[in-house]
Amino acid sequence: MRQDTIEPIRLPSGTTLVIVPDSSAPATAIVASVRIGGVEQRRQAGIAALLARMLGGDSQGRTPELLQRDVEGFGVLGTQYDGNQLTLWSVCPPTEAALVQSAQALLLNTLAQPRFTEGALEQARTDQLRAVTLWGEDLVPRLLRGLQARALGTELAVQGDSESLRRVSNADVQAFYGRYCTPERTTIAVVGNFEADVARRWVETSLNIGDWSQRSISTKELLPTTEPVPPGLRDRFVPSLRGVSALAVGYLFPGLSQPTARADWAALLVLDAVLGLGKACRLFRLRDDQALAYEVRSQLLPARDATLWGAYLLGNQDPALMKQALLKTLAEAVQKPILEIEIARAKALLLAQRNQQRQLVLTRARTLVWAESSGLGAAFELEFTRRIEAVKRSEVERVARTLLTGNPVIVRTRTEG
Amino acid sequence: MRVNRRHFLTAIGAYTIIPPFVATAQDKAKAEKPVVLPGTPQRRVLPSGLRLIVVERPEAALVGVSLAVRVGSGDEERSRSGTLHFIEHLVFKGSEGKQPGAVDLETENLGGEVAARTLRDATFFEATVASENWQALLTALAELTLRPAFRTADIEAEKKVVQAEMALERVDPLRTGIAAATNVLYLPGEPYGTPLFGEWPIVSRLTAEDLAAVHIACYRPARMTLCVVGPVVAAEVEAIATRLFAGPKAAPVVRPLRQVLLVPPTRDGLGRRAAEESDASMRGVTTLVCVWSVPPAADVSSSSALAVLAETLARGDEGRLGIALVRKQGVALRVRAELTPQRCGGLFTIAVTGLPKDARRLEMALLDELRRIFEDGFSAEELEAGRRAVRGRVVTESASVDGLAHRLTVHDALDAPGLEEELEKQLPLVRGEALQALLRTVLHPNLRTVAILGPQPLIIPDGGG
Repeated sequence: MRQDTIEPIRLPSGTTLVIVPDSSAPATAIVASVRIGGVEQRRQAGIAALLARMLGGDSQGRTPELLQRDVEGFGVLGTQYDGNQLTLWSVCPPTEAALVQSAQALLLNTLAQPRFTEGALEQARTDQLRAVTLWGEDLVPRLLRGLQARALGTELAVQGDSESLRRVSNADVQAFYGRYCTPERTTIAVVGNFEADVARRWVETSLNIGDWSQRSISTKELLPTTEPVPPGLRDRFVPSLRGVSALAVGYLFPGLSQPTARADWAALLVLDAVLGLGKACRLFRLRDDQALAYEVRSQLLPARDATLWGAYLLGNQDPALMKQALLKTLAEAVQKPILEIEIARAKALLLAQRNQQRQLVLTRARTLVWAESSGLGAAFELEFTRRIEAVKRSEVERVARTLLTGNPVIVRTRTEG
Repeated sequence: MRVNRRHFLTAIGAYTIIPPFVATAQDKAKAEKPVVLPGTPQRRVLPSGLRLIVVERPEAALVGVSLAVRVGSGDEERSRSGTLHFIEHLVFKGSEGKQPGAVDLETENLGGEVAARTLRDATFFEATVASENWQALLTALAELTLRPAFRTADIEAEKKVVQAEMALERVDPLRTGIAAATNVLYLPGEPYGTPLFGEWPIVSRLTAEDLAAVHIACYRPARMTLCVVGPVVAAEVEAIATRLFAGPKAAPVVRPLRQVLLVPPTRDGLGRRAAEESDASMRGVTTLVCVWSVPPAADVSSSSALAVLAETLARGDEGRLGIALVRKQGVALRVRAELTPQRCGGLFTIAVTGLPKDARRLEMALLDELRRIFEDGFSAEELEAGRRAVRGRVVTESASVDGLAHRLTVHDALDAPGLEEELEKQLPLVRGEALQALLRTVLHPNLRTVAILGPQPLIIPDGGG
């Protein structure tokens, strides 16, 4: 991996552009991200997901994995809505001609000048309804959605449900696009094998055709206020197949719109790794020492207003026993000191994991736009190694106290028998 | 194999420039030594019989390591099923000189997390670390695999974990469906037919002695393939691997290719029917899993054609089946097609997921579309999209050191060591007629094995296939 220069740029239109040339990369990825959260679609749940699918046009149904498979294809393009951001991406071979084609297809034809037809809306609605049905089948997403709903105090389905999706009209989607898909909400990253000035020129050229760059400042960005989790919340139950049990515990942390949360982000990542990354982490003891589960993981679900940190266990043991043991382990993270050797292991694993992800241009570009769009700032990703290495034990312990002394939310399967 | 363009040109340049001095005999000998281009797999057999593959990638920042023990659940007798999978768990529980979890801690301090899995033909241990740590990772992997402790307390504790893993298998309808189908596809006693993780009554009785006996027989260098990809020098890797994976002088163990034993197909066109899942009350969808037995992985032309066929049939909502069943007919929510290469005969799986109200139509719709392809073939565009998807996957996976190490090791463990290089050569040669021929012969509807998971009862389609 060879990283030549890095140039975070604020274009006159307000769009942020991050360019990372890497002459050793076998391809080039362009990723554009628009900040759209649940608050923007509070009355029209799922409209952002429909918009993402309509923007994708012929690329509907393509997952990032599928796009990566097609890394050699020209004009390969995909779109996705994850609840916080609407993301568009393309991957092309490392030639200027391919970069031009890729930039125009993604930025001009898809982002800046999309077509909204009734047929596209119907197809998007069908695809989204299908996706929502399939997501409901997977246990881990079901657990995590339950945690989010419980912790954030909202049952808003950001991906929509059958009722809300049916209510959205073509005019609604166009109005939504006009209001929220604006330059200052947009971040673009270009990562791969190209000349920096060539990439910048073609990004700007693609966005300067039409009125994209002249569009007025959009509606003021809204930030919902997330209340702390009240004490004594009852466990929420999710269905599962017989013989399978699952438990998830979640805690709220300030969102990335807040400077203190951004300042603590590196320490939170290290704490997350101490607790839940790898097999020598604290949570894995629940499997290795107590055989309470097969799968033991932690998960960070960051957002602008509040970040949710969750840990979950999957297996076949009594969920009540899982709960008792997991809460005890998390309490110990506050009561007992976190050792320097734990922090060293966590940092080594975090840095290696990030280096592994950076081998693929699409992953690198997506990480950069996520950081910028979420409020963390692309600079954090670009200086990831330095930021992680600088984290002190006292910071990790302070973040552990902030996070784990709040009231937990718990989602689990029912005890059988 | 994709070679980095810059290094490729450098290497070619160095090879073709005539040296500005009179060549001596020694220089001639050097010049005649074949030039190994960066990115080319270099294969060696170590004195202990270990098969070593090294790919030098000077530009990489990481080193990917994949170690295969060339024995898997498909080599186990039914009475011993699950032993190899259990050993794969137990090796992490410490060695003669190390406590449980010590190797995990060591490797994670190097920035690597060792992932392990047992398949029908081999057991894999893989990790990726920063370039300066690869020797330490090899040391840890040798300790992990060659000298496990098998302590009784750890064995009993780990049984609960394996039991939980078996339970979680049931949550994934595709894996459950394939397990149910293979149980019916292969003749009783055929090792490929037993569940990958074994059968609980057998696993629950395993002792330290059982594990040690199988470990001694199977976890030895002559049954191992080690692949290292990254900014390394092949000779150095060879020297270190020779020391770490030492053993009595031996040739690599070569498993004879055996004829995989299948239950004969029925003549009524219904295919082999696996028992439907009875406990499905919590599923909201129905999944139809159709499985075919296909030629061994070492049959390069068939393997290439089947890989293209899988992508041509279903890529997300695209591909012929995705478009027909999901987009046009709306009978399915999702269609997947995948090839599972195996040493003695692989599996080709098509899984169709639909709403319970459409459960009756899933199998008929699938068979109808396969029949249309059977008669009309694929268009040139469909075929090219399939080829491009396979090529894209190979290129993408090979772009990372861990992805390439994994691919090379898997192919070697399947006794198809050149498959990685051959695949790229074969892809342009895959023709539509070849795919149609596969559908008429190997993937004929009458040869399918069917499992249905979900809340709807099994419906036998009128007239079968």
